[in-house]
Amino acid sequence: MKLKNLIFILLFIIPVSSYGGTKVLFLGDSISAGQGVEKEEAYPSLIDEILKTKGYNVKVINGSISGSTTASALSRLKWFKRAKIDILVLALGANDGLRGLPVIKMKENLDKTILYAQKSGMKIILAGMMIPPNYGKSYTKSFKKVYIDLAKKYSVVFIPFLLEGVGGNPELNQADGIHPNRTGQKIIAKHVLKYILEQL
Amino acid sequence: MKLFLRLAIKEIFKNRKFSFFFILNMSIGLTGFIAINSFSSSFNKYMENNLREILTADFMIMSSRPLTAEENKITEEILGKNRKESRQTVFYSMVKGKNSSKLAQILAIDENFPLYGKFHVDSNNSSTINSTIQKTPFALSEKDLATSFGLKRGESIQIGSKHFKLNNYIIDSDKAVTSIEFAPKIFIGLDQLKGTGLIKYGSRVRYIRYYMFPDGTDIKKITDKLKKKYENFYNEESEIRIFDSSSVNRRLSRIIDNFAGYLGLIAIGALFLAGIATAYLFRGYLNLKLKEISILMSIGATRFEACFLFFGQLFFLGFLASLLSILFTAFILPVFPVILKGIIPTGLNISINTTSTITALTMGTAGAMIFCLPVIARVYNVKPLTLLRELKNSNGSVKHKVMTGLGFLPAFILFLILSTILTDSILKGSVFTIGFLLIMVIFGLFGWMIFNGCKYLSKKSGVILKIAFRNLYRNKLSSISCFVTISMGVFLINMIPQIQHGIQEEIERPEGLKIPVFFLIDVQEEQLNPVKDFIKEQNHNLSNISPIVIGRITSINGEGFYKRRKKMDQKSRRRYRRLEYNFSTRDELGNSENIVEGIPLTKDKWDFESNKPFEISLAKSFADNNKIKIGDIMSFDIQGMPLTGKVVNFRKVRWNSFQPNFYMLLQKGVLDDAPKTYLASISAIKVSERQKLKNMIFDNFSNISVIDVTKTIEQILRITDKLSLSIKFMAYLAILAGLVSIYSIARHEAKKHEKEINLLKILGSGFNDIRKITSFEFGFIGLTASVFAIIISFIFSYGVSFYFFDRLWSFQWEYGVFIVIVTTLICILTALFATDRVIRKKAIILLGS
Amino acid sequence: MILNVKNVSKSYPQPERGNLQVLTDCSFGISKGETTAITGQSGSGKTTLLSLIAGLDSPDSGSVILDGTDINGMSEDKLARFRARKTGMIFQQFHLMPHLTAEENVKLPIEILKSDRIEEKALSILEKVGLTDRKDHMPGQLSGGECQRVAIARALVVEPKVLLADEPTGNLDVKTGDIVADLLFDLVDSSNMTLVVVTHNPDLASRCERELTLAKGKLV
Repeated sequence: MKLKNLIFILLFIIPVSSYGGTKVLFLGDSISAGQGVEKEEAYPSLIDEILKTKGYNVKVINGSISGSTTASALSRLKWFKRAKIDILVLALGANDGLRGLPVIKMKENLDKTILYAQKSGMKIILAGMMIPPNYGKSYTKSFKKVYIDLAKKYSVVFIPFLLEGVGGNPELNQADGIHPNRTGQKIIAKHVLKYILEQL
Repeated sequence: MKLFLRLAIKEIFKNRKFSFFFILNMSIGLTGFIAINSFSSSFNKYMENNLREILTADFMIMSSRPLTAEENKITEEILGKNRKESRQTVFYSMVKGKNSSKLAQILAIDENFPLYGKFHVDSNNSSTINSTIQKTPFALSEKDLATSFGLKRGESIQIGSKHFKLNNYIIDSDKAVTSIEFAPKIFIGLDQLKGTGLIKYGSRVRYIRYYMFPDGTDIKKITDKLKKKYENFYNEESEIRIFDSSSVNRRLSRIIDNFAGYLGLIAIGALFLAGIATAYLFRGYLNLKLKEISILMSIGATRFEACFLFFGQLFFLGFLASLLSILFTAFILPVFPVILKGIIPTGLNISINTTSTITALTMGTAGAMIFCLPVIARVYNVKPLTLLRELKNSNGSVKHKVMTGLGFLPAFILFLILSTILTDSILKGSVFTIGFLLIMVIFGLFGWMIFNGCKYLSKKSGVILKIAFRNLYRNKLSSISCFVTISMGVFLINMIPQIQHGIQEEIERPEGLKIPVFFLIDVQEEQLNPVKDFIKEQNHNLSNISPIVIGRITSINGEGFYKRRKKMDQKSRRRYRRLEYNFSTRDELGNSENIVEGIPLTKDKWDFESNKPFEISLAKSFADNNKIKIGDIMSFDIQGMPLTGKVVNFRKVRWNSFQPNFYMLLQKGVLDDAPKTYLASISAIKVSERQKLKNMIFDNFSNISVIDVTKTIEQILRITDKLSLSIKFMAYLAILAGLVSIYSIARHEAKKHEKEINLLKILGSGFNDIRKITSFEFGFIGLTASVFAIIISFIFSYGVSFYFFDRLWSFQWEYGVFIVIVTTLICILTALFATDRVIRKKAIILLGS
Repeated sequence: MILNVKNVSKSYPQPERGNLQVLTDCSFGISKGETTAITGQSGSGKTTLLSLIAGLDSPDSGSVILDGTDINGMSEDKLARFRARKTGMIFQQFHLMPHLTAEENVKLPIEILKSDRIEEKALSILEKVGLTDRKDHMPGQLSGGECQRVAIARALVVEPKVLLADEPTGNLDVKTGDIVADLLFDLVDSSNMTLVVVTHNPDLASRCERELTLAKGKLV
């Protein structure tokens, strides 16, 4: 029953094989979920829009959850497995960092997720995260290194820093200083779009 | 006019008994009014101070970057020079101890911190510690933190690239009712931030400025002005946020507001009880005086002059009563804390406030006149003609009726104004006033029915009951007015505990509730069982396990949620935009919530294949804020999946149960397969074990955040416990004052019966029969009036709770029964007492009169 | 004519019984200084007639002209002052203010009228009724006869054109009644005042120069 339901839901959300289009899954946190802006204003939706106007046959699925950590990555990815994802944009880890969770654990979580995605035949785009300097040099350094190491290990497409040009700029962020505003989301979309286009 | 004033004063001294009871009643009411108001304002001040100490300031402004020159200018302009300021820089950082790094919240404070309250450290240099940490790289934290880093006193922790010595530990640093923080706090001097290398481009830092203004400054006005100015400056959502002490904890503030409203209600109640009782006394007095008015008019006084005579008396009596009541209050207030040790929060300093003193004076003098105005209108029905003939003016002229009607107007307006002020809304005030008026009419009608019914009862009863019932219906008007007065009194008296319990239930800790110590958040689905087992191994229990799925509300009844929100926000104040919500599901509602409207969610699992919307249960507050009704269709986007449900019920969530609660609960089955995390709590952990358990959870399940909520909860419970005690105390006080009023009404009524009693005596009735007749008569009025009033007050108090106090209502029949019994007894006993006095008098004296 | 009653009729509405005709077309005039008794059986309408003359009630038709002024058209307040200045009333039940002393009771009407020499007038009239030594007593401390004497003093203190009395001796025993009646007539005679007295005491009626008898609301 459960399985049947699950299949049904997936059929329901993602008209799977009827389109031969490319399915892009964003697995991220509040930045990708667009906390504080409308869902349509979050960069995954913006990318979807741009790709469609450019004539690509794509379907963007935004599976991002605010506040989520890498610990949830694998189980969430499994939830989307049946949607036959072609490209996975893995943009998790910021919350692990902000909450000061051990980087080793984070690396483990991401590692498992990438491994699973590769086995499932997805192309992977790993979005690198950085932690604000106030967390201390050693932590921010080892945090950053996780992404570099993983990108190397699995030779996945690597965006060195998801918030390139946005992070730390008050003009592009909301009052809390951490979540990109509308303009910020647009810049991220442009930035990430390049990497996706390479894969299409 | 001077002549009539002189006459008025003379009358007061000549009618000592009336004057005494009039003043007594009035001053009891006024004393209640001043005492309650003073108590209320003292309590509010006390609570405000409490909240202010929690915030450490009158208000604060917070931004994620330093203020720009422009912003600084705006701020300076509005705040003016007359203030004290403290700056703070707050951020999270990985702090290194002996052999481990952990997340901590760094609070870099300046030498003015805290503006309110004190900094407590475990040595005797609390007062100088702040200046010490400004000059030297010393850090302050709670002892637990040092222990968790494996540090001893005097050793250092590393924050950024700088070492800070931990020489002293803070006691009770965490007053934060504001928010629950992820990490322990470390205080350092603001100047010592240099050299840590942590504050640079990209750092996530909160810049906070605390402000303190001289006592009596209108803080709300300043913050409102500032907010508006920032908003105008940004043309949209300001990047600067302002918090005042009321936003420390909104729910708490609301509860305090409710409490103030409740006290206001009691104050009005006390005043109106007194007003009704005095008006009643005055009516009796005036009845005796009607002949004198006739005489005055027959020898040339105009009607106006006759009225003036009585206004003059009322003025003096009212003035005397208010002076007396101020005196009473001055004596009573200091005694409050002594007598009621443990009932009133300690440290609460009650003082008479000038406003309520002035109010009492005006209310006493003007109020006495206003309340008695409908009675004075009788003067307009006086005809000196009665001096010549035994005329019965039973049916007053149209003019008299109009005058009586108009006479009620000022009392009505006074009531309207008072209740509008106290409820802070004209609509609410009007509802309240009209409700009261309606109640009086209902009482009148019911009394009319009862005493007409007595006619039939008298035919079917034995001698004594026959006489009693006959007396009641023959003196129908007097019976009805006594009935209405007593029932109004009982009504007001019973309203108070009724509403009290509603509010108190909200405030009081639910019985048998386990107060959580730790909240565990972000428990992954696959971690749930391992965590459960792990906690069990440590001899604890994981409780309140709630699944959380995050999603968005896309539309309500087809209208885009965001658009709807925006439309509503424009009308009300701009709120922080929240677009993602937590959804949960549960098999059984917890003891902290109950359905207030609609039907429970079905236990059946929702079938994805059906095209039927699933069922949704909403928190009442959420539904109210978003104007959602039962039966509304809500659409969600839960991680890419569109889902549609229908609202079937509203839940009222007991916020102070400190259990995980959700705005939206969905029917079983909806969230089964969605990716989710779990929230759970652990209660009853010994203080000594807490840090250890926390560390163990962190070591084994590093992604799970463990939040210690005990301090927050204790803080709130401390405040609510105090509120709860005060509410109880006020209710008892009001009941007592009310019973005194009822006594004086009954006493007056009994006195009026003296003539009849005497007649019965002369006609040879046995004393016991006389006693039986009078006690039956009064018992009957007392009983019917109070029973009926109790019933009405249950209904009305429900309405009041519904309208004014967020539907906080619970059925309290015990008080009702108590009040009915006491009222009936008071009526019977006072009547008996009066009867006995008449019986004891020699017949000859009675003949003379 | 100090008082002229013209075609006065008066009826009172009775519950469930329609109007009760109390006075029908009564007309008479009284000259200055005349003493008149209005007599008749109970219910004949004499008290009603008195109340109309005193302006305490208004007739259904007809008019009452007192000292040249038709009192029926006046507003209530104006009438009150007019009545106080022109007439003095003496009631069967005395109707003194219970909380005022004899002297204060006597002073009251002239105080209301804001006369001059209040003290002097009051004391002089109290002397005339023979109560100088009891002036500080409350009505409750005075006998019935004394009370009525205070009432007479109060009625006379304004020096009215017409003195109206309603059974002035009705509440007194015969002996006291005679004393009070003597006093009343002495005072009226000595000041050449007009007196209208309602009574069914034939002795009292016979002391008046004129007697008007009412029967079933009509003068006979």
